[in-house]
Amino acid sequence: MVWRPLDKKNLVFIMGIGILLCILPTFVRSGFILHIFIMTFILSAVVAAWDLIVGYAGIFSFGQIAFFTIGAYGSAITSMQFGISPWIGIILGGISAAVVGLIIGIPCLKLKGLYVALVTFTLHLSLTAFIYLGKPIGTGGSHSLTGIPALQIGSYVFTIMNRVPIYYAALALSSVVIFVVYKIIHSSFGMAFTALRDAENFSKSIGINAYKYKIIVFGISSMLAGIMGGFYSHYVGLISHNLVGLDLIILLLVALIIGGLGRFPGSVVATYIIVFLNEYLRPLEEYRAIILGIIVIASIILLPGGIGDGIKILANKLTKKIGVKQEAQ
Amino acid sequence: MGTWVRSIAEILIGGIEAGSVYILIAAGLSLLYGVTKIFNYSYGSLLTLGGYFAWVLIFNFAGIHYGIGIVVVLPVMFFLGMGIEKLIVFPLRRKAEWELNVVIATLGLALIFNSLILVVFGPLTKTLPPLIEGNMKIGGCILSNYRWAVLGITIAVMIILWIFLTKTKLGMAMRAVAQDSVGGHIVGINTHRLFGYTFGISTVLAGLGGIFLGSTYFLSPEGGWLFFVKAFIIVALGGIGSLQGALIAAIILGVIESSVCFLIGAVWVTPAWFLVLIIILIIRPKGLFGIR
Repeated sequence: MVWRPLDKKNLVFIMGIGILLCILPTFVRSGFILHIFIMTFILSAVVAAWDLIVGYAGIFSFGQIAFFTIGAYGSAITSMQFGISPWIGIILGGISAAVVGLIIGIPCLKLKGLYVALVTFTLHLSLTAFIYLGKPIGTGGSHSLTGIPALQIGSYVFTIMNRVPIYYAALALSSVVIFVVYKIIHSSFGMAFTALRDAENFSKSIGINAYKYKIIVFGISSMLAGIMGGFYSHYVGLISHNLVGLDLIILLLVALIIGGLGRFPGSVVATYIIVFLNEYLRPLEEYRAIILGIIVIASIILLPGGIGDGIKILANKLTKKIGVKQEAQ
Repeated sequence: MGTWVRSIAEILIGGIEAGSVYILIAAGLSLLYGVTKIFNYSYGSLLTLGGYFAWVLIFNFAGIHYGIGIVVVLPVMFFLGMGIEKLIVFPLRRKAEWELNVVIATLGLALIFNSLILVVFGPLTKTLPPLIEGNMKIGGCILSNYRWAVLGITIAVMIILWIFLTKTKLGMAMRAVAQDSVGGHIVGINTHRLFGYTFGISTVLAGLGGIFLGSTYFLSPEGGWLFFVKAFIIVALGGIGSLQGALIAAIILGVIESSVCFLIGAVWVTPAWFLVLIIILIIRPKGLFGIR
């Protein structure tokens, strides 16, 4: 059973959440809470694109944060060095992430999943060294890169002073990216992957070219991660090689696992839970990472389907109730 | 001309020295994958953990000789490895999609180990004393005795491992399971127990590598990741599951590392390793000695 968010019944549910998120800034004035929401929007799109390749295309990639970082640096560098608009910078950041994704993907997507996992993880871990080496092109070397220009529309500048406009920008961009992911899952691509997963030899025999599909989806997913990375860099105004530390990747991995692989809205919802949980666990400092690690192991052993399955059932029940009421009226 | 020859000699000897430690960690990783088909992402953290255990013994129980420290740490590592197999890997193996699940679970475990090290020992780096003091001079190159000792121990460990795998019943069972896990199970090999032992041995090799690397470089909570990646690239070059492949690949990559370090600078070492990995995957994805 595939959960289709754009079915009539589910549309009510999705729109309810959307409206809630849209009117949220009128109630919440705290800049801190808005910041967490903005981060959640950015990261949930990254996780959705990650789920697309891990959960649907069956590519065990650990490179998602590396592509996010490449996009962030790509966008920051192009807009700082060449003075072009940050909006174009974001697109260039996405393209640079996609290019790196294809360079990595073309040799290794033919190989077994294990290789893909390790090659992408190697990319993640060696990116710090590349950032150090990239000092001549403006990565800032071992220092963090500061003074990244803020986004602007016309003469209006999205500063951190007033987070409400950027909240809506992040919400819009995140929704677009998640919608793209949804569209791919329910396109012929998604069907090809489902076929490959369920009956690999048969699908190949009727001419589904797994490698081609994987390459394309891997490139798209890298680009989406890169775009979100670019947006992030212009929002925060400061990026460093700490992005490719272990903090962020583990955090999003937890979200991906808790959400359930290949259970589309699950990972997005889980990102909301995990990012907020992470912020509220922050006072625990080093112990926070231990708790996250335990959550990863416990959930992979006890709940391999993730909360995605749980949400699917719950959402179906809820929308069914609403649907029944509407019919009754 | 003389200095030119000496530079090459230095590069080669430096490469073999660096490679000798890499042999240990790559052998552990390769053995583990060969027998259990598991890639342990907490391997780098286990390596660091071994170094820190030795550091605790040497500095907290003052005056313990380095050698005794190693002898005490290795059984600890063995049981730690077996414990991980029993508590985390075994419950996952019974379900579908265990390959990815084990990768994720061991990554979570690595995070826990890293943070525990950070909580207990703090973020400052620690250095282990060298096994043996003093230097040796051969034809104008100054070489530390310690590094030769590491090379000697590595060779000894590899010979022991080879004898274990070819002459003992347990070792032969391991090779049998590496070839055909189901077949091994059918002829009556207790694969579950065997996986536990393999995990233990692989963790011991990681710990030993960690102790040696702790003297050569230094120990830091997240320092193990780099060596995990290096061990993986060695295994990929040598062919996954092939021990002699890992041995030769470790030496090759050790020499590449020392020449990159010598010719263009230490910053380029990690990018060079990454480049080597990509080239291997394009030209010969099976690795030098890989069967599959």
